[in-house]
Amino acid sequence: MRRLCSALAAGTASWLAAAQPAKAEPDSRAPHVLFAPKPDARPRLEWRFRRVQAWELYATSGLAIAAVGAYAAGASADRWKGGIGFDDGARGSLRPASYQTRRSARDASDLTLALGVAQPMLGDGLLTSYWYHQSPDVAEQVLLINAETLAITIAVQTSVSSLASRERPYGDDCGAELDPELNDCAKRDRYRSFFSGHAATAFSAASVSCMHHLHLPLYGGGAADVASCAAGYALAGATSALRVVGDMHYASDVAVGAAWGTLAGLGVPWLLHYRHPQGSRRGAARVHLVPHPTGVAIGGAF
Amino acid sequence: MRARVALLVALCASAAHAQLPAPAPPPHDSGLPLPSYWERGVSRPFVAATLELGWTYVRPEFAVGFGRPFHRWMGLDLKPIVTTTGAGFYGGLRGSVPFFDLRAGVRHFEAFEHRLLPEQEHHGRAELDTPRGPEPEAYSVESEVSGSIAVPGGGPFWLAGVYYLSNVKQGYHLYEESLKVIVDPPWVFRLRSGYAWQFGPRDALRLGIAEEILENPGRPGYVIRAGVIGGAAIGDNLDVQLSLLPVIHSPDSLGLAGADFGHLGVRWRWATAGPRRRRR
Repeated sequence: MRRLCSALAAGTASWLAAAQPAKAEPDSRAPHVLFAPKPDARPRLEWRFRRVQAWELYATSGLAIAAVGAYAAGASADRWKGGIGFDDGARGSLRPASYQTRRSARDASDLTLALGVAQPMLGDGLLTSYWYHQSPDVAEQVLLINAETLAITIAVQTSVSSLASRERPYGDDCGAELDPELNDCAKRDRYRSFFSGHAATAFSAASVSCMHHLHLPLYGGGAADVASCAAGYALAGATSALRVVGDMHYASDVAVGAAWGTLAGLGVPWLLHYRHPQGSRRGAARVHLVPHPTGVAIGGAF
Repeated sequence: MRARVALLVALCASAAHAQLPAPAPPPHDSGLPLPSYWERGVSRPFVAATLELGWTYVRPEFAVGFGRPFHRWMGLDLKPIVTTTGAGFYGGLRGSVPFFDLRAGVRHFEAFEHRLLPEQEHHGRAELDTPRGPEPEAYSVESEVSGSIAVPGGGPFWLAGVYYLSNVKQGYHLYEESLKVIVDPPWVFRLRSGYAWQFGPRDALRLGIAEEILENPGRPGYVIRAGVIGGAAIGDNLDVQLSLLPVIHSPDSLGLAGADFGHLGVRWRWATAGPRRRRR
């Protein structure tokens, strides 16, 4: 046990040491958490932007916990029901008559979302950066930026959907066309319509992937990278449309989800990384945690 | 929910990959092709682990045995199973030689959402999604043998499985969460075959087609699936995996719940006293 504690202490100390700013390397607060550096290797692609900092790893973990917490907190019944504006018209024209067809559309949206998230994670991070370009360092930065972007996207989405507690469109059919004991009708997930997590996550993944392709020549730069970007957004658009066809969301839910996902997917990587070329003084963002009588205050300079 | 699980998977992957040191062995200059990572080393007693992280699943696997892990070995295999639809475990014996693998063991799975279904000729998705019947408490005693033939540029692969499902109430059908098929216990037979092409630097990329037939003597007709499998060996012990076999023919209408969407994620492998890594 003592040995385990010593190892933990040593590990924490070295990790914290890595997290301290060094004079020679202004960006050395960024720890390597996924892949060990290979000093003798010559990668085909180099990271030339501000690196993911230690505080971002803490924040990402915190956001992931917040997302789980917001989901566990659940949603309330009868808080918000029905469509607004163009919602009912869109639902009327897109909703198939049979449950089986609607369920198939939901399945398809799960599949397109999985592929959409795989694009920045498996495609850009592991296959292209790590394996093809032999650049573990770039792969690590790409994967960590993906994780922090998706974490903030999902944390906000789960929190808003819990607070808004809007009933999903199919709620109208529970007890009529749909069996009230159907999982969809009986579970609290029925009240998480606003806003669409699938749309937000799909657009966030497409956007963060686009940011990588715009700033790194992952496919050599040019048309291939632009095509990858377009394919990501096409997949995100299909995911969103299928959520309306599957009667899981109103059109307004997916519109807001797509807008938030795009904003987070473009904004987070740009604000924290891509607008700061490596070595730039602007890149040295600082965040401070300050004890406060009622909790902890967070402050920073960007 | 699936999106949230994906994030957790990504974060877990961060922790798992944190322990990938890369000692550099001297370059291999014999001119002969290098043996694959797990082929090297000597036979020994070992403990090995595999972690598969992907879209809505976490599949850790532990093995204790003798030989060269993941290549030529025999021993005990233990797999906790965690997905968004339930949790369970598998334990059994396993023996593996190049291009041939045999396992036999017992599996149990507790489903979060699905219940036993009253016996019918046809089951729909709404029925599967309505938790009305008794809770399933089935055990599967099963054996699978799989293999492949290596020819330049790729090769065929196959799998045959026999499953005996017990502890299911009379008069009910069971949605078998691992095989993704509704069965009338006890017997289920499975046969999968396909062909995978290998290409790219060091033949690291793999893409192929596969088809699968499942037969349950208690129910009419077969379940037939066909689709794509793929993968990439991006490191000595790190792979990207993909497999999707939608249903082509079935007595039921289950949509994606009847498809084998087995992999979309990464696999990381580790063993005690593993061979030294090659210089990349």
